[in-house]
Amino acid sequence: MWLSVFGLLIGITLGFLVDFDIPHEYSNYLSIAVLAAFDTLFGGIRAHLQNLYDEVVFVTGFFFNIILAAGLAFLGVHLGVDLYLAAIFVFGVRLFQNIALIRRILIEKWSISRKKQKKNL
Amino acid sequence: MKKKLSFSLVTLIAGFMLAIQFNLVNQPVVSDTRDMWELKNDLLKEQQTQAELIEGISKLEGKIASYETKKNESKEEVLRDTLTELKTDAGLTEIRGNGVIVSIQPIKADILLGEKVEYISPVLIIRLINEMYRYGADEISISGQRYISTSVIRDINGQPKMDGYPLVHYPVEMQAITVNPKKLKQRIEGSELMDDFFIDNFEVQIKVPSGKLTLPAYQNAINVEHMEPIMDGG
Repeated sequence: MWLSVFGLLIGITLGFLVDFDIPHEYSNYLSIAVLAAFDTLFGGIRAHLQNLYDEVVFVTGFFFNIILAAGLAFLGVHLGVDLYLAAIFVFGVRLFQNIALIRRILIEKWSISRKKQKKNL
Repeated sequence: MKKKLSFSLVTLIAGFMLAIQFNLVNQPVVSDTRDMWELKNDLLKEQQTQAELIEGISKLEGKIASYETKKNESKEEVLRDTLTELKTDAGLTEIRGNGVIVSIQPIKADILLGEKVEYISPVLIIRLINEMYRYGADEISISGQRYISTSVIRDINGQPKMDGYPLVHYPVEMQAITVNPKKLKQRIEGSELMDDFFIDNFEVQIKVPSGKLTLPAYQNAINVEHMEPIMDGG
């Protein structure tokens, strides 16, 4: 748990420290890729809490979703249709669902542990 | 442990992407705080740069123009060379070189006997010309007229004519330029054509002059009937 948070922090600091510049035209793709990455991350956390976590599925899903989202955005730009909206919609909805599920699971766990504590008292 | 590691790696990548995106979106807008004087200075600098660039461009364009003219000139030269070459090949230029003189005249004995002198058969002349080319003659002229690839020798009103010029004054003299005149002479002398001329009461004498022969240029215009120039600049 802490290791992954640590990784996230290291990534963020690296990103800020490294003067890695991307042309402004590609910011759309990157934003969608970030969204896809977070969707997969929260999906992974939820699966972990539900004991459904599969490493292969997670890692492949992470990269595949990023590539798919960026590809969709690219296709949209070239077709003149804002296809990236589809990706944003899907990932956004899934993000909310996942976060809601995580919240419920955490609340459940918390309430169970509180009941146990009460019983012990 | 491995699970955690891969998860951390993924979070690291996600964080990295997030930070870059954050950087990208939040690039600070640099506000322009230069006053009039600084702006003028900057403008001057930019104008200088522009002038330098324009100068460079004009220099390069001059270079291109000079190259183009050179190219055109060389093209013209090549074309001229080719034209001269082609003219020489076509027989439109005077040509000098070693060669043989073939003179055809009626057999004197017949004249003495009072027989009417016939004209030389065009077929015989054509055959002689062909034989001469076969034996290595490069250029041929007959009676001071250049024989070229479009020349015609034929019977017109009973007279043998080459390109309209009659070959009736004896001796009919043929000049041929060749690399090896002696060899040409020997081969003509050895050919059966001599006998054919003799049957028609003509004798053929072949001389190899010590000096060089000068063949005149073809005088008429060459009509090109079945060829057209391509017009599309190719």
